[in-house]
Amino acid sequence: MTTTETARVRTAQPSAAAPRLEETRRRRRRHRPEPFTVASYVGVVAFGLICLIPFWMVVAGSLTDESVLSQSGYSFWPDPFSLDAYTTIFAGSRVWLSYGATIFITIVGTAIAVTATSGIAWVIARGLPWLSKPLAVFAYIPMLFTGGLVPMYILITQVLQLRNSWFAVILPLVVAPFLVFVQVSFFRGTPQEILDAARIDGAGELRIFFQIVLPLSKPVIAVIALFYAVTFWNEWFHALLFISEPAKYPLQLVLQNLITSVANAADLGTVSAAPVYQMRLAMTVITIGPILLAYPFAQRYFVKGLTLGATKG
Amino acid sequence: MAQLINGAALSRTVSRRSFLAGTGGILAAATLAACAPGSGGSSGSAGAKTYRLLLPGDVPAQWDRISAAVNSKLKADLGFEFNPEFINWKNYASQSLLKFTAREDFQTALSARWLNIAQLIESGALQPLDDALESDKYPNLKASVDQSAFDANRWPDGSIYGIPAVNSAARIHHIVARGDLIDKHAPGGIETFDQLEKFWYDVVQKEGIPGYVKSNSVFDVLGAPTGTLYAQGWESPDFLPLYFSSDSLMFVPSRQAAATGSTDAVPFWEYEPYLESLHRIRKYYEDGIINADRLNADPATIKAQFDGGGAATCWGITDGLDTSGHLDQLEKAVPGATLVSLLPFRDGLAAKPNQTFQADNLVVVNAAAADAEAALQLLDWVSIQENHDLLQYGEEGTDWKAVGDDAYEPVGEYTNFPGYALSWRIPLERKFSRMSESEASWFEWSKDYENFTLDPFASFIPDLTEIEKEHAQITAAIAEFGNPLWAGAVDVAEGLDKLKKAVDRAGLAKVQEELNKQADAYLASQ
Repeated sequence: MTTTETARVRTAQPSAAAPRLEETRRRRRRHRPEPFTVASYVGVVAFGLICLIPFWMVVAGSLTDESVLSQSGYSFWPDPFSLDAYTTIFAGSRVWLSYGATIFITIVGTAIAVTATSGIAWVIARGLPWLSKPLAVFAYIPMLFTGGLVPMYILITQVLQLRNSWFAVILPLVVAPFLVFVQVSFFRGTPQEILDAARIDGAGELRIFFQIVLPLSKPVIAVIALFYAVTFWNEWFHALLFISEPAKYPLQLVLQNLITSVANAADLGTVSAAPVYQMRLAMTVITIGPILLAYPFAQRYFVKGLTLGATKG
Repeated sequence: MAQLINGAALSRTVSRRSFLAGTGGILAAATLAACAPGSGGSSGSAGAKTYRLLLPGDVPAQWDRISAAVNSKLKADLGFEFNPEFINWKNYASQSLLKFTAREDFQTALSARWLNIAQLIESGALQPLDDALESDKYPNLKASVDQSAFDANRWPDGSIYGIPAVNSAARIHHIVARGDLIDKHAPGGIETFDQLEKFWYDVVQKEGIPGYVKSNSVFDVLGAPTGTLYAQGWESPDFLPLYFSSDSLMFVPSRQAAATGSTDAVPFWEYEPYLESLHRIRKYYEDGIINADRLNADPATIKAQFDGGGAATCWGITDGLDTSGHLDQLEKAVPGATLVSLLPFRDGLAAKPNQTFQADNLVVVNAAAADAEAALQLLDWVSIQENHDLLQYGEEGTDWKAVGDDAYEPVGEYTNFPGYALSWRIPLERKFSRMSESEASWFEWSKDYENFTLDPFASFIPDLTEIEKEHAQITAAIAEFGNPLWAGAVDVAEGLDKLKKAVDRAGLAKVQEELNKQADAYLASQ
């Protein structure tokens, strides 16, 4: 029986195989990638590697022993492997304090900046007589001119008395004109019918803003929040100008000091003979690591927010 | 979209305005209170006045402990405390200028011609010190700084604007070399520049490391009067170039200027030894004798490279820090390594290089300081051996112990106080106990004014007023075309041609004429 069945199947195969083969070919053709797609993938992967390799070299360098690093330069693999730099950096309290400073500046700064930017952008986007246009001009002028370093320095240190306060780092960056106009463009795309419906339902202007406009604007808020967060995270110049107490230095200023001077390495940890090359690279890893993690969380809003903000209005 | 809108919430009658305003206000007040500025101003512990100073460099390790000890003594002696603000070297020039411009209240700062003292004096930001120095109020300061040092640092208007903070009469640029490599490749020692050059080539070929590493500097190539790579300077260190600023164009005055009264300064490329030096650097660059990244290497990286055993020699200056600055780290990287200070003068210790005796570091008093007299009291206070030692070396027993009468051995972590911006005084400085024999010998030599020849243009400080625009353009041209030449990174003929064209366009003729006019006037006044 088995033999007969097998034979039947075997004899039936040639006639059924032809269309199946054709189908398979068609399917293969359908799934065969276009040459352009292949080229795109190759290009994107190559570009990705070009971006990743320097980053990897930094990571590898931070894990390579100082003696090899200073004599032979960077290598692709950490050999001999060494955690000296990380041990030295985390041995002292400086990096932890700096993390605290940077996190405070980033979180509080971003919260204030998003609030201020959204508020200004909404008022500009409303097109209110006597208010929106002057405010738009007010927001636009700093894109063209600034008061200059000396007036800002005098304002912060002598008028506001914010020397050695983290708010001296936050306040100068609280409103970025470019981001105001990105958000204005987005707000102008809010359907008027929804706003009118809310008014008919008895909502006041503040409620409309908080409960209708802002929930509808999550993509653009995520984008500007990310821009602000990266700006505040990377900020060192205002800290250099206004913060002179080492215990209040943000992370980026510590890194900048470390890059410019060997002696700062001794100040980070507890040893005087710190591995300088290795520590610079390790500090770079420590400094950029956390903010890199912010991108995946904002990614789902990112493209949408940018595109909407860029094309409407 | 509709799901994003909470319909139920819309019908609520709760006003958020006051809630938001209240919460925001409380939050802002709390955070502002939490981050309020510290007491960097004028009141210190127990009501004592606290004065700010600007210091370049980094906060020394263990600084909190030492500053507390210094302040405790300072308060007991003078009734006030100090609170130095350390500014990284890279940012020091711009940051200090900004603070002077904003008329900020601080007492003293470091300045010099190579920083921005000319600008500060011109704008009245500095306090003239003549009256104070003529009085009898600051005896320790006057006793520890040689009168000739004050005289050499008078501004053309006749006033003294800064206290020279130096620990030697003249700072001679030279070479710090690995003694262990000299023993291996030049066992007979190195006394001449030719021997030094041969050593470099041997090291490159046999050890596979660069002979000499340094970040880019014109003075390495066009000596003033010595430059590490400038062979002629070690033969006859008998003249100094003239310039409006050290980052601008160098001019070579006539050797007979003092006798004839005519400066006849010409651009550096018309002086054959300088030209030869440029070709030499180019050759070193191509042969791997010098580091190829001179153009953009920063001093910290270079130091780490040398200290890690990655080079045979590096740059040094006769301020007594050759050994203490490198030996500990070098020994960790290369067990058994030693250091030698090389000044390959043809005449050895009998050489008498030309010098202006203008200090590299001047402690200036801010005209906007709340209490200028307190600033001078502090400068006098740090001129007392005990106070100087506390600030410079830390607490005796904990941070250092005395070795003999004039040396110290560090035993703690306190190090790197920038004494050159406050407390360096030749008679008070202690030598590092492990200072190499060669360094000790040259350091002692450099402290004696008699070992140097006073340059005919010693106190000549050219005035930029008439040629500010041309000077700025020439400086830009030097940055673009001169720096690659000093690094050996471009062909000399080609690079020089571009430089000449650029400075010609920038107004070389006018600048040269102005320099000669001012220098002639200076010579006539001597």
